[in-house]
Amino acid sequence: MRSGHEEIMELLPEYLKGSLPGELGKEVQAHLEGCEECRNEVSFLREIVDSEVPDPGDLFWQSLAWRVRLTVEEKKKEEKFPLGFLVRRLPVGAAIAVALLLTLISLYPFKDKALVQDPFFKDPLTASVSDYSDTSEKDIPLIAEEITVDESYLPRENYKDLSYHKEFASLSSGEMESLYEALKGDEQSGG
Amino acid sequence: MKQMDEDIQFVERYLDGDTEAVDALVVKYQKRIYTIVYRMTRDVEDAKDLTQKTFIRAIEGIKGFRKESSFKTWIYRIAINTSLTHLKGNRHGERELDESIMGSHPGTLSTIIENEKRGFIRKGLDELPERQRLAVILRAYEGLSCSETAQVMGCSEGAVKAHYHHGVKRLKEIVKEKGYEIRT
Repeated sequence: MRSGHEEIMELLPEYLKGSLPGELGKEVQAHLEGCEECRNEVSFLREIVDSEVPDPGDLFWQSLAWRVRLTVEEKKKEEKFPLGFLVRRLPVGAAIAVALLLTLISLYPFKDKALVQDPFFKDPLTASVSDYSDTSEKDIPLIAEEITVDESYLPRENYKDLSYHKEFASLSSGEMESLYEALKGDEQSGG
Repeated sequence: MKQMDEDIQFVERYLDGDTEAVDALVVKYQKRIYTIVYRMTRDVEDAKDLTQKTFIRAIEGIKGFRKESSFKTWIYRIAINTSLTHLKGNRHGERELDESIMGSHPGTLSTIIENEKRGFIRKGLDELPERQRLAVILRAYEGLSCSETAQVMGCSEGAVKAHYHHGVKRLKEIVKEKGYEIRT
């Protein structure tokens, strides 16, 4: 016998699995016939190996190879073109972006930009939301007075002398009629 | 040796651009990898998932296969590492023995006793220190030689022998403690 007891013991798992080459297998077989310790070892190994492994099914076995290949190829593509992931999802991303933009537009408080950059200027378009609670009656004549002295209505140099509008206001209806007739007559005579 | 040459041919074909060469390697080793992974995890779904992950990792890193060892020991090593990573990150609690011991396997008294004994052996295997468990799985269940087991585990043959003997010894003690006899 070429191999000793210890060496044969080391070969028992392979012997049980049937993976020993023919000659070595026969040597182990011959040793076992005369060695109780090795026979017991083989028996115990048979005991522990004799446990079932559940079969995951034909579908798993038949599809594993292509699933592995497919996954590896997909990963390679992603490595070559890292933005591929984004491009594939571009239509979805674009739709989301457009929806977001439309939402923002619809929520944006559009206002006509004020033409006059004056904090006291009340924009007529927003007048409905203006707060006049701090305006008293005293302010009203002041505003009217400002209008009467508005330079766009009166020449700057002699506006104080040209207060004929006050005189017209004091005329009675009869006087107004006679004034009208007089002016009409001037017009007809080419005055 | 012939088997090793065949595997290396498949690897070289794949590296030359023949992506379908992968299929041959997967078909050849899928059952062995699944069995090892199942014995490590004892969960069919985990084993299926980890088997696929093992092959994906192997193919992604196939350029790192130096052909110094066999493809078989190389992919076994990937399977073991993948399983250990999974187990460390996803440690299940104590597994119940119900499925294997009390079991839904009606039968004769001797069948029930055998099932019980298997259940305790399996539990004993789960409780072995990691290196001992690996050595027993690779040597006893997979029939790998000391040298192959050492390559898979990344240690010396002497260490494999020590781990294996301590592991088997502990399993024998468990069987004796429970009062079972070993069939001869």
